[in-house]
Amino acid sequence: MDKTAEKKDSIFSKLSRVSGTGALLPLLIIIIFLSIFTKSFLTTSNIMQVLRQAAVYSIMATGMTFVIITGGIDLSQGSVLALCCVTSAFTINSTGNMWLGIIVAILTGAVVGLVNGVVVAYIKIPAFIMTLGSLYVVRGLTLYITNSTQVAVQHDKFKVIGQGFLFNIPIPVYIFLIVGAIAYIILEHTATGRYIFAIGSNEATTRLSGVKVERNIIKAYLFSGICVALAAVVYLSRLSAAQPTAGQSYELEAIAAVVIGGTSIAGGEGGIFGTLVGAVIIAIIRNGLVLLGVGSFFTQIVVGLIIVGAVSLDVIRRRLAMNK
Amino acid sequence: MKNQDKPTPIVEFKGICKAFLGVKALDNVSLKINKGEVHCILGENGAGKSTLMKILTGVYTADEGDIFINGNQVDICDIRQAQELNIGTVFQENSLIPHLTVAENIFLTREIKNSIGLMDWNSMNKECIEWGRKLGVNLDPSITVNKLSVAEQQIIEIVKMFSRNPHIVILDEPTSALSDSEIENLFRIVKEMQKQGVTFIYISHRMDEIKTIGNSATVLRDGQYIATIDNIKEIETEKIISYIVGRPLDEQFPGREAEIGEVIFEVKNLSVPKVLDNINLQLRRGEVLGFSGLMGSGRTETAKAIFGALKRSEGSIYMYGEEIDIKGPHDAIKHGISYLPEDRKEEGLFLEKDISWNVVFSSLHKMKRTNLLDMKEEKRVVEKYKTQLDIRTPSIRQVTKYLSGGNQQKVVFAKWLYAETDVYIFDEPTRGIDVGAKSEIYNIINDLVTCGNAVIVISSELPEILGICDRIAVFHEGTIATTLDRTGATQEKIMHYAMGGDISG
Ligand SMILES: Nc1ncnc2c1ncn2[C@@H]1O[C@H](COP(=O)(O)OP(=O)(O)OP(=O)(O)O)[C@@H](O)[C@H]1O
Ligand SMILES: [Mg+2]
Repeated sequence: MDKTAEKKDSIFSKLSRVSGTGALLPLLIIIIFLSIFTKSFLTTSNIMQVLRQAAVYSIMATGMTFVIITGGIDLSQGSVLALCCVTSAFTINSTGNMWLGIIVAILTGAVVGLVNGVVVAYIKIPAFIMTLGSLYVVRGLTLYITNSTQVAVQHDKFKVIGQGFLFNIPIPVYIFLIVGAIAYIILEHTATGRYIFAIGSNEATTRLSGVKVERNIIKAYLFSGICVALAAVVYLSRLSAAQPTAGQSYELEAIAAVVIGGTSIAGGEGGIFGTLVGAVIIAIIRNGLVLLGVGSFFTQIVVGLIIVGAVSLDVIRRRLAMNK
Repeated sequence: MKNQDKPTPIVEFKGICKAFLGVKALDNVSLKINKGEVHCILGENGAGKSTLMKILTGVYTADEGDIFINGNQVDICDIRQAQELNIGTVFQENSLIPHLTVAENIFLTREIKNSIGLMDWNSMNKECIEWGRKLGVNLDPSITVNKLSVAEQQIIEIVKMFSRNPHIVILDEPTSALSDSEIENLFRIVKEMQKQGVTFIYISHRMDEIKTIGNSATVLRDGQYIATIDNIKEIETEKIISYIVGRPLDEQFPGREAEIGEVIFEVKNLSVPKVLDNINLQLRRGEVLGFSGLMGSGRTETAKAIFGALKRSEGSIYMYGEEIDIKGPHDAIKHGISYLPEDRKEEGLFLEKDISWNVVFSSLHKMKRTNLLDMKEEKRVVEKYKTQLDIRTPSIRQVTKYLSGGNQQKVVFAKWLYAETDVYIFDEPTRGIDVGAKSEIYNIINDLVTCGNAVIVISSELPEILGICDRIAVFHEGTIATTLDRTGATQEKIMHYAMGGDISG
């Protein structure tokens, strides 16, 4: 390796230590590209549309970030989204109380998260296996309790959450920013946040430093479950109906946002800021390709390439830093 | 061409410079190493010793300067090239692959194949065992490396390197994890190979080792060349130390005036199946208790069982006369016990995180305002320990992976000092720490006991144990063979009990 490469790399790695800034550059490039090549991209209404679309994924991805930083993964998110929608819809329909519906959704997400967390932390089976199991069980349960049919929700106030605006900005955007901000504060400014990073970074050291490792792993999965529940509330309110098949493969979308945002899939490194940028990138690409008039299959190709590209860059950067 | 009378040095560095992110690790270093010598590189933590060796082996590229091997200028860009030049290395950091077996690690990239091209595990295993025997250890070639202790892994590293028949051997603190008998074996092999014309570059912070094994030496300080010592056996240790630290060092083991008070900590009938059998010990206020013994004698295991990191089958632990319930390290810390582990990379540090993150990690509750962490307080605390322990780093935001070995150790030390417990257990606290910083650490231990705390020190270095402990518990095969008073203890006595000698000795 020649010397100039080393120097460049050091500036690069210094910058990228602020987690998530790595994803800003691609975001900027995409925005500039779309502003030049489409007329409608850079309009307020389109931007709002994009952000609204990003909301559900980014709330889920926020929870996913916690789990991935501990070195785990939560594949059950998509199924849990559907279950939360359904339990919430049932509650709203039978009580007429939207707040009760929201609470039930959160409880549903929390219970599944708790079960995932307890099994991963105490029985110590790989998170991949446990949450893959939950993915099937929860989906099956959802189909069973709905008898595979959709549950419509009739509640005018509830609709506001997903469809309403405040100061010309869609309400889901506020929700995802608030959830993101809370998650950011937990990760960067509380002891729990540091423990979550620590577990993914070196579990033995974490334990020997006096941290209750199991308890903090559970917290991460619990948080993931609650985030999915909040995403479900937004989703349900926007569609005014709970489909038992909703949210299929949304967990992959969440994982994509997390890794594009620079969080290491091996755990220990990453952050919420990157995840939100990652979620916005995906939403913009979807939107932009529609505006450019290319088919939806093309979107999939681009998203796939971006995932591989972003993570490859990250891996190469790490390798350079190590061999320096 | 006037120096014809002197043989060409086998290795020569000329004007080597290397900087990391603007920090000069090496500044215009030149030195020569003659064939067949054991040449020591000496210097404080962070002096640049490991960096210089990494440049010789192609891990890093020098910013400036040239390397000559047998008088020919060479450009070494990676480890493979170094291997082609017959340079073998045992790095300070473990480079084994954890999930591969001992044999797989040793023969990595040069596996022995049989006539039909399949792996010939029989031959490889045999050669492993052979090498193990030379070093005086029983090697099981088929066990995966992650199941081995630090010391055993270190031995595997050494075997791996020697089995490639190198002409130039770099040993970067090879003995920091080894016991005395293993060190003896290592030195025997070094001397044998030296007779066959192999050249050694040897890095260590232990003066006794350098005197035993070394022929010549180069001293570095803050990345700069300081001095060459042509015959290391002739020069007094004090002189060498003054080269290294740049000033005469007074007492190696500073005295203390701690008043020894009442018993504050007690362990009764501590047992761990197959590992520890009925350990009893008492620790008094103001006291330093040493744990001595051979590797695997149960010193570390006792500490871990007390700390809750190893499940005990039996035994009770008392703090200030009251029995405490320790289910895990968190309980131990809550009751005022801390443990500095021997393996700083695997159990002491978060290598990917910065100094600050590591230092405050065990004590986050102390820097909370409301529920949020007080970053200003964090900075204040960490800067304080950085100064107190003289951690050499451009900033407390430096990722600990990039610190020199000794400075990493200081970070772990700072972490436990900040935990401010009543009882401290230090497992090999000065491993990899330079002579100057060692006395700093002894001073800190003295301060701790003078303030009324109690300290347990586990150490394989007998002079250290004898120099700083009030009493010494000698371990043998999972029990405490005897406890000696500082006044009556000698190296011979400790070894006698550690080897299983009976009490009359
Ligand atoms: N990859 C790296 N990135 C940044 N700084 C580094 C890196 N490697 C070494 N350094 C810095 O270079 C200096 C010299 O480090 P080096 O490891 O050579 O010290 P050393 O003499 O081997 O010390 P020790 O006795 O503690 O092992 C130190 O200040 C260290 O922090
Ligand atoms: Mg070193």
